[in-house]
Amino acid sequence: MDSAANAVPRASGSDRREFVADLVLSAAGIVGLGGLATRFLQYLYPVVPPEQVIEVAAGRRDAVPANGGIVVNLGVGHVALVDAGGELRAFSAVCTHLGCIVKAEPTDHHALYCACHGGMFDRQGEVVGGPPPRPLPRYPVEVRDGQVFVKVIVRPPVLTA
Amino acid sequence: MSLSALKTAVAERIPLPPGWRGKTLEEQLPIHLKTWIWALGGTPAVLFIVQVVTGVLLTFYYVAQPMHAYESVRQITFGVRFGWLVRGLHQAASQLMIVAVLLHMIRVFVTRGYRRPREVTWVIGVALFLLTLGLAFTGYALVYDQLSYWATTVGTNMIAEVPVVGPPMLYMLRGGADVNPQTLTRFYNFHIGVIPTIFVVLIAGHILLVRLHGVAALEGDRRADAYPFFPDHVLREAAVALVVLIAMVVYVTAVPPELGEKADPNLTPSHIRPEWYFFPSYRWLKIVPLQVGLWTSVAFVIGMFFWPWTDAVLERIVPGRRVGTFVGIGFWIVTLVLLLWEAFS
Repeated sequence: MDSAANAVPRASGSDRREFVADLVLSAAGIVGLGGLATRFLQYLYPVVPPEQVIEVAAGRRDAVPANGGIVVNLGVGHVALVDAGGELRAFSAVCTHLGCIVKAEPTDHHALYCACHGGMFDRQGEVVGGPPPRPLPRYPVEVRDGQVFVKVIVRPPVLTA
Repeated sequence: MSLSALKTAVAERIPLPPGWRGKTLEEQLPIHLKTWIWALGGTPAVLFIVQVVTGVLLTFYYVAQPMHAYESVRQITFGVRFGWLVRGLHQAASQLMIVAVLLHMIRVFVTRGYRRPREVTWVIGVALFLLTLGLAFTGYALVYDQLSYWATTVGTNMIAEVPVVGPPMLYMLRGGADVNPQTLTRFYNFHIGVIPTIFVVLIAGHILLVRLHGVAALEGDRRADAYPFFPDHVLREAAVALVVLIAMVVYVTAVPPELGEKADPNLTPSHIRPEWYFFPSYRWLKIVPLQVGLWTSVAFVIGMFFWPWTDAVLERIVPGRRVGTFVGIGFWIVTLVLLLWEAFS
């Protein structure tokens, strides 16, 4: 091993060759390990399935009380069905704040309430209280023969157990 | 083989440099350390060992699958012999670890032990504090009862609000768009694999730096006396560790761990609340808009990391008035007010 005391002075040419060799080796190491690390990150990143719009039956129309609302689990997501003066509206029931499921809580002030941080939404899905940053996404809804059908956007889970 | 022959044989196989005892075990510590409050730095380390031992024991029965997780925790708590003790100790130690780390941080903060040249020790300490919270959060998710499930949903959703990198980070963490079966596997891995591994490396770095720098002198303390690390200080740390262990066993025996209702992804419970150590941020998120809540939290963490340098700048601007200490105390008070506000609301 070299030490300051017994180091042999070298020609500058060999110094340069050694430096270039070190540089090439270091670069190869960084590129190789970096490439491998990128592959590992890709391995960890789940495959993102495309979003789909599907129509799902969401129960009977008369299950939604006048000027009230219900929250239905459709198996592919939660939907809030709200009656606004006879008009049926459907919203995603996932609170836009931090993802809890809202509850139907019809009052003069709001129609839907999130228990997690106190978010409140009116019959338009608009935020009327609490911290949610956005209105609830609205879904197209149709009533056929007394049956409610909602077109929801779903993203299938990556893996199911 | 005589004892001296054995000593020679061991010394030949493990050739420690001469004088190593004086540099390590018998290092002289400043006399101000000889009060109980200075034995708190070792407590989180002791609690971490408790967590490793009880955690390994828990893995013998825990099943990290949504269909079985809750049942396996129920089995540990109510079925397995002394399962209540192992799980109870793991739970109690996780709470105490946060208390111990906080007390240690407050002590270092007030005595300004983080100042040059010990900034990196502080930075590693802050990282260890955040990882402790990470361990608590991921561990809580594994119980898979209602509160645990929804705390995981809410906690991970915050990440999605970070611009650009947020959504992919959330995907990575959850293993999908929503909290799904993969999420539990990932959280289990973080809890028992990734975070503990980083934790051990950082603890080693933290302790190494403390020993390399030596203990910071206490401002205003002119005593030149010293006492050895071993056995005096080690004994004191051991006494604290023993008291903590006894207290935990007594507590868990008196108040065995409980289990809430099984996680139901369809129903957010009416009274949802995280564990007490997340109360300040939980209350903060309720009273400010989401983006404000998010960015002030990020700023708070960055502020903690860079505190040694910020304090040095403040000291240069207003010398001798300890402005930084007052700024810090202000933050502690705000945090405490938020915590108590949530606790009593």
